[in-house]
Amino acid sequence: MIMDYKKLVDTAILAGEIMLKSNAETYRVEDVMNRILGISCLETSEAMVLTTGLFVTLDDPSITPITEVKRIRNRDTNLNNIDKVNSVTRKLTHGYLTLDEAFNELKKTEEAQYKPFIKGLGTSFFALFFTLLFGGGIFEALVAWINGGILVTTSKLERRINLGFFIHNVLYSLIAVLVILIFSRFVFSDFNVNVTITGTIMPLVPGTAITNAFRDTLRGDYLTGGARILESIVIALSIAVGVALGLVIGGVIR
Amino acid sequence: MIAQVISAFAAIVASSIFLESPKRLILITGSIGAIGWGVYLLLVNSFGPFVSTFFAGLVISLLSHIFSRVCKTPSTMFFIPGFYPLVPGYRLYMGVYNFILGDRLLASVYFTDTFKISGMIAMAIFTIDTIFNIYNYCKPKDH
Repeated sequence: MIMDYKKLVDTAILAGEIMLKSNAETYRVEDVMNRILGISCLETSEAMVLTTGLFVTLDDPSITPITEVKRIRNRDTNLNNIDKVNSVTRKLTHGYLTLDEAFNELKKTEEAQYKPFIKGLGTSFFALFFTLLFGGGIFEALVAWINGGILVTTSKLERRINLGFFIHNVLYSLIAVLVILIFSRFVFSDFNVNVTITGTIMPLVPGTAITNAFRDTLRGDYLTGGARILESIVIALSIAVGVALGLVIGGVIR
Repeated sequence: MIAQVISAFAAIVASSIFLESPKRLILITGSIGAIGWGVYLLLVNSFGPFVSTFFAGLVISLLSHIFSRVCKTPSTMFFIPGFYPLVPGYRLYMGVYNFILGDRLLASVYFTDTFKISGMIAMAIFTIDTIFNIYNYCKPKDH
């Protein structure tokens, strides 16, 4: 079968890049890329995925070998992209899509699904409902909701001026803690500060990263597992620094 | 408890939007996570947090696998938001926080808890993964 192998490798790289950027597990990314490469039926096809980059090679006695490397810099969980890539790959390997069609479909996946307003509402209600879940009352939840709104604003700012996640997390948790302390001191008399802080930082907390870290490690992907464990500790550190700073400025701890 | 399960459902729906979960899956994800949280709440008083996390994890991953086959989508779509209430992100944060404040003892308690709970969740996911692998192996191939 004659096939545009270059295009095939490009498609595999693109699919892998989108999935890795959306925080899919590494074994799933490797699986998807190997499936795409598999339709060439060549002797050697290998995909290797790390948290920060991916490598593809395709070789056969009949062609010159193709190798591509892609570096991944920023990652942000996006389940919709994972789902789309998955369905495009399924259609491609079952022959419902040609290679060019699949490539174009993949190019289109990076469009956002929700309007910014809906996503902002989702983020702020995330903080609100988790405060309720951890035993906060209606006032605590409302303050957490306000903080969720602040998070939407700060993350928009972060994307615009490219602060990096560490500084952003420190700044956000600092501001959020100050807001909570202001409310607890001047507005409400009986106010549970700890529960509110918990709910407020919930959207940032690295829960997914640490669970995925353990899954990867148990599967034998030690590099990715280790990287993810480190990632979650660094995220937790950034939040803790922000919260501690806020509490120091607010005079709660010395 | 009913109120807790309902707020878990709402929290998971909100977090699904935060994680850009596809629209058609949001309500299913919310229900899976709410059922998992209900199981956790039922067990936590008699068995403690670790065992109940394991069983809640079993329920969540079983349901996720079933629905990932029904909806033809990766099971991660349900895992990530569904596990949000159980996942020990808060404990990890508390560990680092106490470490910064200089309370080594409390920090190590939180770190150990984080380790144990993540391990429990991973074990639960693994158990169900293995069961489905065996099922796929034994299932008669139709083509």
